[in-house]
Parts: sequence; structure tokens; C-alpha cells
Amino acid sequence: MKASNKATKLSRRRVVGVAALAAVSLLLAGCSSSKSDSAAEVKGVVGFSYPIEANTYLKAIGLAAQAELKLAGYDFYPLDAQLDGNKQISDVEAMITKGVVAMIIYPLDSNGLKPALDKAAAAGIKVITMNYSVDDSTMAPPSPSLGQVQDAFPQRALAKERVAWLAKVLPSGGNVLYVGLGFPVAALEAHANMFKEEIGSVKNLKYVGRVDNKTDDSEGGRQAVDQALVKYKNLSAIVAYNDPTALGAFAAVRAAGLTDKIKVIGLQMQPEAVTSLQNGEISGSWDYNPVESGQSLAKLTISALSGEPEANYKKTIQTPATFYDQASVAGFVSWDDRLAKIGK
Amino acid sequence: MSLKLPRWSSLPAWSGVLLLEVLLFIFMAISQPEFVSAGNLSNIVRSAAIPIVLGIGMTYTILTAGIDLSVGSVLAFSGILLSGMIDHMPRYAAVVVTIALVTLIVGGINGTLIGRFGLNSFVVTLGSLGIFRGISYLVTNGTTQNIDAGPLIRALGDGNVGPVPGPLLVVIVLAAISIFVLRSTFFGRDVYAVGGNEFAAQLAGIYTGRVKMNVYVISAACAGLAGVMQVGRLDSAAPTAGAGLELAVVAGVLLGGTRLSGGVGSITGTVIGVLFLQTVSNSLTIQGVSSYWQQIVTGVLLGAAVLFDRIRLELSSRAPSRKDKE
Repeated sequence: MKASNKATKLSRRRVVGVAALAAVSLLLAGCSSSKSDSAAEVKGVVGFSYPIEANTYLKAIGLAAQAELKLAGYDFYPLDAQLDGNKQISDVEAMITKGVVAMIIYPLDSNGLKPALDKAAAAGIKVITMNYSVDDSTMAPPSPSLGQVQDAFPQRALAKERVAWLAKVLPSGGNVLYVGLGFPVAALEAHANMFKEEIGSVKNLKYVGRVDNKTDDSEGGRQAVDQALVKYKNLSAIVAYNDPTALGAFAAVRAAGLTDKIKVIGLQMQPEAVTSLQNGEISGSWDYNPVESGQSLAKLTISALSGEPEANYKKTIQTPATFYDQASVAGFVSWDDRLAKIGK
Repeated sequence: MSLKLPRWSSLPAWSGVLLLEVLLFIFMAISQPEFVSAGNLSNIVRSAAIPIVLGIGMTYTILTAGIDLSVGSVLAFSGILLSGMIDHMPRYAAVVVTIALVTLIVGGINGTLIGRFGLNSFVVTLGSLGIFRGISYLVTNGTTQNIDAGPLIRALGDGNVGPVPGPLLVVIVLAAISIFVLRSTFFGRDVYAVGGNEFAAQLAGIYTGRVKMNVYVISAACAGLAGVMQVGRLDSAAPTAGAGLELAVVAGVLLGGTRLSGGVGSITGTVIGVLFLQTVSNSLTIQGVSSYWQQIVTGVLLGAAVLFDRIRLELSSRAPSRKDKE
């Protein structure tokens, strides 16, 4: 009997303890959640689906879209798919249930998401997308997306620019290694293939091969390049599909004592790459201009919601990439500063 | 009638993986001579060191029939914590304070909830995984922190101490301490006892809750150390660091013969299991195998190692061996 009372007491304490913990968490989450800034009349809610919100680049796109939409009188409803295609489908359904007037989607898998987006379009919701199709065309994207924005497009131009820069900094030529992502992402694969094709057109530069970053972070880049340096001797350049990978690649090159022989270049101009460029570590990166992409997404959405002529929003807007190296990085305006300037 | 058993049935649980590791080395040495170059062997050791450190902590928790899914997130949290302190105190002090804080905070939370309140380790550490990853994102706003790690931290994660790679030294010291603790201390025996049969351990007078609490504190300390090593390896602290690493670590620990049901396993096995996974990854890249194929080959090799262990277990169940303990 005594033992049973003791057990009940303990289990009560457990329940109270866990409940208190849960309550504190909810309270904290409630305190930190964003609230509508003004009581001004809201024209409607626009949903935004991130592939993963915890990515500085994607977050900048979302924040820029949010700022533009707010100026036009729309509320913003962001959802994070956390790199899970199924969750993104659920997010689209949640937006339909919430009654959004439009949704901006950066799809993880355009084909897989199409039935859910069809349902949204059938419910009268305007669907605007980011990189819904990854060809270099500026025509309107496939249905149900009304309009789209493509980042760092035209891809062919970016591939040519990267190769031209390599040819310039390696006048006597050299061996080039490409570091790609270890799982298929259509836009990245398209760029990798175009880069390989373009480098074939330069006489002195030799594309020696590709290794993959299996974890999509700096450590994955480090491991891939550590191993590649054993296999590929006499490399002159390592070209990465994004900046975190380039930083990992640079760490491997530095550990091998080859910083004076191998140039490492990245993509996207993420904040950490800016510091690395300033320090003369990675040699170059291309700013994908996420703030401009986010603004374009919002403008397409506002145009579709305002009943403007179809030509104004049934199209593809291509955001070009801008190159920076150690010499030009001083002129780089941070994404945060660009975000702060929206509407001013 | 006497049953004659093959002698390998009494081999330790990690012998199958060790055999595969040796075969892989021989195959690679013949097909790709650069695989056995000093540079590449150093690469394998350096890249395996962090998962091994996490694996050592994980072994303690799995030995008690628990699991710590938060290690990848805690690694990132540790790096972010270090990046916040590194400019305000000497490097060695920042390292010590970081590991101490991580041990206190993470070990305290996980250990109390699992050891004191008896909550399920899978759920608690899954919660911690989210909490500490979230805090890392929140504090850094999702951006990687560039750090000038300095010689001490770099030595722990990437540099050399004399001719020996620093990370290898860390692994040797940590593994030696853990082997001693599990094999030769009362606490070590309690860990095996709790995992083998918690009820019987309680009846034998072991404070099972305290033992469980301590193993999560040890696991947190290992993750804290791994976070510091990661900063030394990359000269930066990323909130995304270690994402998904917990599964690779658990795979390495289980490959090394530690049983998910607790009570059986060893640090030696963990070191070999994690090292094997790293060697497979390294050798496939050097062979030029595409990363899609690498996943298939790794899966097949994992299956082969587990199958070998299963056969060994079947045979040893007829002639029990005591070699699975440290």
C-alpha cells in the first residue's frame, strides 16, 4: 500500500513536472510568435512555403517577400517544410484551410507538389512559385503556377561566367574539380551539367571530376575534398555548388597546405562567405540576390491579386547572380541592409 | 553427443566488422594504392574522430537500454556556445567552460528527465534534439559563425600534436578512459547491469536512476567535446553542424556489437564500427563511385556486417561467450 502511494506520488510529480515544462515551452513560443503590427485593414493573407526556413538565403527571400506584401496591405503566413516533401504538401493544404488569397511556394519537388497546388488553384488561390521549372525560358511556368522567379538564372550565363572567371585567374590553365550535392536537386544538377559543358570549351582548363557533399554542410564539403585531394593530384581550382561547401573545401585545402595552389569558389554569397572572401580564403562567390528574388515574388503575387493584365504576372522573372571576389567584396551590400531598405 | 561449434562463435561482436574493415583495406590497397597513403589514412582518422567521440558517449546510453538522439544538435550548440565565448576569455578557458556548460545544461536536462523522472529516452532526447538545434538557429539567426579557432582548438579538431593527429589523440585518450571506466569501476558494472536487467539491478541495490542520469551527462560531455573539435576542424561554428549525425553514430555503435536492448557492447566495438563506416565512405569516393551508389553499397555492407553478427550470435547462444563486455 505504502509502495503504491509512493508510486502514485512519483507519477503525479512526473505529470506535473512534464506539464509545467510543456506550459513554459508554449508560453515562450507564444511570446516569441509574431503578431500583426498594425490594426490597418488587411487585404488578405498570403502563404509562403519555405523548403527549409533555417537557411539564411531562403529566409532572406521570405523576409523580402513579407516586407513587400506588408507594404501592399497583405498579411504573411510562413510555413517551413523542413526539407520534407510530404510536409510541404501538408503545408499547402493548411494554407487552403486557412483561406489564404495567394500562396508563394519554393517547391522541394515540383511534380510531387502539383496535385496539392492544383487543389489550391481550384479553390481560387493564386499560386506563385520559385524555381518551379528550371529551364532557361522566360515564358510562364507550367500550370498551376501563374508566375515564377528563378534565382541565378539564366543558368547558362552563370555557368559561362564561372568558367570565364576561372580562365582569367588561371591563364596557364589547370585541373578543376566540381563539388556537387549528394542528392538530386534539379536546379543544382542543371547548373553542374552546364558548368561541365562550358569548361569543355576552354582549351587550358580540364574538368577532372566531381565529388559530392553528402550532408549539405561545411563538414560534408570538407570530407568530400579531403578525399578528393588524395585521388586528384595537381588541382588548380575547386568549384562548389554553394558557400558552406566552399568553406569546407577551403578547410581541406588549408589542412593539406595547398592554399597557394588551389582556388576555391562558392555560390550564393551567404554571410559566412563574405567574411571568408574578406579574409582572402575562398576566391570568389556569386550573390544570388535573394532580396530581389523575394521582392519579385511579392510583386508577381500582388499583380495577380490586383486583377492586372495576365502579361504582368504570367511570366518568369530571372534574378541574375552578381560576382564578388576579395577586390570587390567591399562593395557588397549585405542582405540585411537590403531588407531594411525595402519601402524606404 | 557433443556439438562441435566453430571457434569464431566465441569471437567478440565487432569481429565481423573488423574482418570487413581488413578486407576493405586490402582491396583498396591493391586497387587504389593512394588509399593507403599517409595523407589518406590521416583523412580517415580525422573525419572519423568526431563521430567516434559522439559514439563513445552514445555507447554508455545504449548500454543502459537507452539512446541519445540529441548528440548532433548538441554538437552544433556546443560550437555556437564556444563561438560566443571565444573572444571574451583565453581559448583553453573557453573550451573548458563550453564543455562544462553543455554537460551541465544538456546532461542535466536529459539526465534528470530520464534518470529521475523515468521518462522515455527516445522521446526526451528527440525533444532535446529539437530544442538545442532551435536554440542554435535562434542565436545565430541561421548563419555560420566564422571563428579564428587558434592553435589549441585547431589541434583538437584538425591539427597535429607532434607527429600524431590531434583528433586521434583525443579519441585514444577518451576511449582508454571509457574502457577503463566500463571494465574496472563499479559504475561501469552498474551500467551493464542496468541495461541487462533494470529490475534485477534495482533489487541488487543499484541506484538505477542515478546510473541512467550519469550516462546522459557523459553523452552530453562527449557531444560538447565533439562540438569544440568541429570548430577546430572548420574554423567556424554552424547551427546546421551535425544534422542527422546521430543516426550515423547509432549505426556505428550498433555495428560495433552494442545491443540496442542494452547490457551488451563495448567501446572497442564502437570505435571499430564508426571507423568502418568512415572507411567505406572514403574508399568509395576514392574509387570514384557516385554518391547515389555509395548509399546502396554502404547499406549492403551494413547488412553484411549485421548478418555476420547474427550468425555469430546464433552460434554463441549455444555456447555463451563473455567477450562482449569490456
